[in-house]
Amino acid sequence: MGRDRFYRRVRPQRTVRRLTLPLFALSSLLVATSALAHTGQQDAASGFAAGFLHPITGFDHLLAMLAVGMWGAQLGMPALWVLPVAFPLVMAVGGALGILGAPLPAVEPAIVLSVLLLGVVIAIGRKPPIVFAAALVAFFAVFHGYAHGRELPEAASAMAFSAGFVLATGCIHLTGIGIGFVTKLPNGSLLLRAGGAAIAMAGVLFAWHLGGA
Amino acid sequence: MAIAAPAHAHGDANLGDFYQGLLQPLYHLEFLLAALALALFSTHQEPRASLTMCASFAAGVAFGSASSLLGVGGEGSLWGPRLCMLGVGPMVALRLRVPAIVAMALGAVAGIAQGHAATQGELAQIARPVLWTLGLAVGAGLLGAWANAVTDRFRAFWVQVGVRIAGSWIAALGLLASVLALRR
Repeated sequence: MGRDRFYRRVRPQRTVRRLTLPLFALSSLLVATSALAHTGQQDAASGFAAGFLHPITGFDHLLAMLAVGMWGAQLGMPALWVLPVAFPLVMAVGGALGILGAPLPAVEPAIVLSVLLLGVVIAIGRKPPIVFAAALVAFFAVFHGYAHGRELPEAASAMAFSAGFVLATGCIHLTGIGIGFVTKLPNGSLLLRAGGAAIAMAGVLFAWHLGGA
Repeated sequence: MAIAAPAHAHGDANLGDFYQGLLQPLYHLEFLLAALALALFSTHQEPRASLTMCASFAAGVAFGSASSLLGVGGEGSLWGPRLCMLGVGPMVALRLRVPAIVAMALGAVAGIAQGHAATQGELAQIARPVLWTLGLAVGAGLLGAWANAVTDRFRAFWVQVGVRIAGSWIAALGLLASVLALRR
């Protein structure tokens, strides 16, 4: 099925209706109190939660990965699936380097640069070859993964932490793709490019803070 | 509700080794993801190859479990699920199709490693080996059947993209699990 046909099928009203119940169910998690059964699973649960929150609470990670999804949606097929598939795979390599304590230079500057550059490419709105897009995303994924791997908490379950950050990364990509659907609205492409420009501006701000630190 | 008594989670119900075997992957993320990778990979194959792959995986799990109970093989089988995630995850992401015989062999080998490793880790707790092995094999078969049913029912473009992305997540976790195991 082509991408255009796919977009036509996902109408906003239907999507909102379909999302109402799952969103309501998810919101109930916000007020959930702790269950006392199965207390032995706490390490795994806290490890998963810490891992899941790591990319979300790091604003630089969050924006870069949103940008990956948005760029994929902007470029269309096959980038729509290639970028979200390539990123976790290469990120895991970076994560492995971080866990093993292998040296990797300029991790923070590279993460900031990823926010800046990915924002710029969305703002420009050109369609580079898929190989270039995948290579650029994969290059930056190494640094994001390395940062996650280095900050692996000793106390929590390492496997659960890894599962958490991989899953969160994927969810942010999917959110970025969802934002990319805006291109189907009137002036949507312009709106998406403006979003890219805003991400690039945030990248400039991060770089300014990093330079001042 | 006014006269409700306190709830005792799960009470003293003893559902036995069959149920423990059936639920084993749910308690071990690596086993669950490895089996899920195989199940998702089978959905990319021709219907006949998919069926034989799921069946050979379930039979392999039973064979691996039995061999572990008989004391055959060592702890090296614990690498089976990790290697399965690492090897099969990318194949799911790339939507590879393989000949039926290769699919069957892959399912059998992965199943033997999975069954052996699963039983190896629980040897001390298993009271009824036959029921445990049966539970493991039925669980593996059910997961394959479920994955095929879901992807067959939902053939939409975004589901296929989702399966590819899930494959890349599994491969990523396989790599991280392997590195974490090496570090230990």
